[in-house]
Amino acid sequence: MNFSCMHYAERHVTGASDLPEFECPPVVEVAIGVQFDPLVSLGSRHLALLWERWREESPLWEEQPPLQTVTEWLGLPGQPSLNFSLDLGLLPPLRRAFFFNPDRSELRQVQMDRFVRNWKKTGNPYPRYDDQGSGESLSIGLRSRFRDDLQQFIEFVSEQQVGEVLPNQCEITYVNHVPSTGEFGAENLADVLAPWKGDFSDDFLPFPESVEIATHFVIVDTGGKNIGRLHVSAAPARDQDSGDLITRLTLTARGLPLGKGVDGVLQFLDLGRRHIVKGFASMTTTTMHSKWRRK
Amino acid sequence: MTASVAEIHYFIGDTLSGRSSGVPARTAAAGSGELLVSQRPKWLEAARTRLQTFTHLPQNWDSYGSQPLSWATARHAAQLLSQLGGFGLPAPRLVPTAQGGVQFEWDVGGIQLELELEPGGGMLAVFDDIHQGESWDRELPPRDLAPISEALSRVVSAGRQVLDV
Repeated sequence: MNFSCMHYAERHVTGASDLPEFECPPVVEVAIGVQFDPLVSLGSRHLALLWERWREESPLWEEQPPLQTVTEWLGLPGQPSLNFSLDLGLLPPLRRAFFFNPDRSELRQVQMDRFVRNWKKTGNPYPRYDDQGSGESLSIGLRSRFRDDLQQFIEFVSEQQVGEVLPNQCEITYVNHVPSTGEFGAENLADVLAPWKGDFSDDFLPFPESVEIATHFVIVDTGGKNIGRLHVSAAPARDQDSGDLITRLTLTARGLPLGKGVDGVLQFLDLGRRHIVKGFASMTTTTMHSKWRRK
Repeated sequence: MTASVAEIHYFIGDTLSGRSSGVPARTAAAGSGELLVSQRPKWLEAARTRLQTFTHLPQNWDSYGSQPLSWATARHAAQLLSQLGGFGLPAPRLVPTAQGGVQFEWDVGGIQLELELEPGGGMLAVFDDIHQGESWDRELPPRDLAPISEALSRVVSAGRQVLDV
C-alpha cells in the first residue's frame, strides 16, 4: 500500500507536547462531530439556505438517511449495544445533507441533531488537527475548520429561528489503513496490534481466516469523573482505491461536552483526540511504530 | 482508563472511508436467521411504544401545567433503555413526569429503584431495599450510571430470582 508521510500529532498545539508523533502514520480519514438536541423545526429549505453559504467551498450536495442518536451511557461496563431508537415525528425524518468539496476530500454533514466534518486522504497532505505555522504560511487545521463551521451553523440556526444548538455528545474519529501481508489480515495482526497474540488452548482450530477486534475504554477527567469512551476496532478490509488488503484500524472518542457552547465541545474533542493519538500508540506494536517512523 | 468489551456503535456511522474505501473483506455469517437466544429483551419494543406515546401528550396533560416528553429526552431515554436491556434489567414501568421528563421504575423482590431523566439532561435516582433496610436518593452526573451500578445489579439479581421461583 502506498501512503505519503504525514504528521499525526503536532508539537505546538492544545497542550499536546507529550503526544507521540509519527512521520508516516496510516491515517486516511478524520471525522469531527457534535450531536445536539433535535432542531425540530429544521427543514429542507433551511438545508438549502445553509448550502448556499457553503456552496463555494462545498458545491456538491448529496442526501443520505439520518444517523440515529448515539449517547455514551457510562457506568454499565460490558453491556452490548442494541439498535433501538424512536421515530418521533409525523413527517419522515429530515435527510442528512452531505456537502462535499470538489475533490471530495472534505465533507460537511448536517441533520436535525448532528453536525460532522470529515477529512479524507485523497493525495492531499494531511491538514493536521491544529493550525500550523503563522502569517502567510499559516495552515488551518481540522480543529479550526470544524470550530468555524460549527459557529457558522449555530449562527445560521439562530438567524433562521429554528431553535438553539444544545450539544449533548461530541465525537472524533481517526481511520487508519494498515497494509496486510496475508489473506484478510489475520496472519499479520499480531505484528500490528499489541494486544493480539493469536494463541489458542490447543491445536484444533487452524489460524483464523480473518479476525475482528473491538475494545472500549472509559475516558476519565482529571477529577476522576467518567466523561466518555474511546472505541478501538480493527477489521480486515480492502482498500477500494488500490484493491489492497488492509487492516482497518478505527479509533473513536465520544462523550459529553466539557462546558457550554462551542468551547465545551472543543474541550472534549481535544481530550478525545489526545486519547486517540496516545491510544493508537498503545494499541499498535513497536514494530509498526518503526515502520511509521515514530519520533 | 478501564477496559470493557461490547459492540462498537458509531455516532458518525458511515464516514467517508466507510463509503468510498476500506470495504469490509468479509461479513459475519447470518444464515441462521432470527436466533432464539437474543440480547434484546422482549419488553424493549413495548417500552419504545410507550415512550413514543409520551411525546404526543398534550400540554397540561395532568391539568397541573405539565409538559409532554421532549424529543431530546425521549431519544436519550430510548438509548438508555437499550443499554439497560443489554445489562439484563427486567422491564421497567415508564412514567412521564410533569416537567417533560420520564421516570423508569422497578419493584422486584423487595428492591425498588426509580430513575428519573429530566429534560435538561439531569438524572435522579431513588433506591429502597426492604431486606437490607437501605434507602437513599441521589442526583447523578450527566449520562453516568456509575453511582447506581450496584443498585442496578441488585435489581438484575432480584429479577432473576423472581424468574427462578
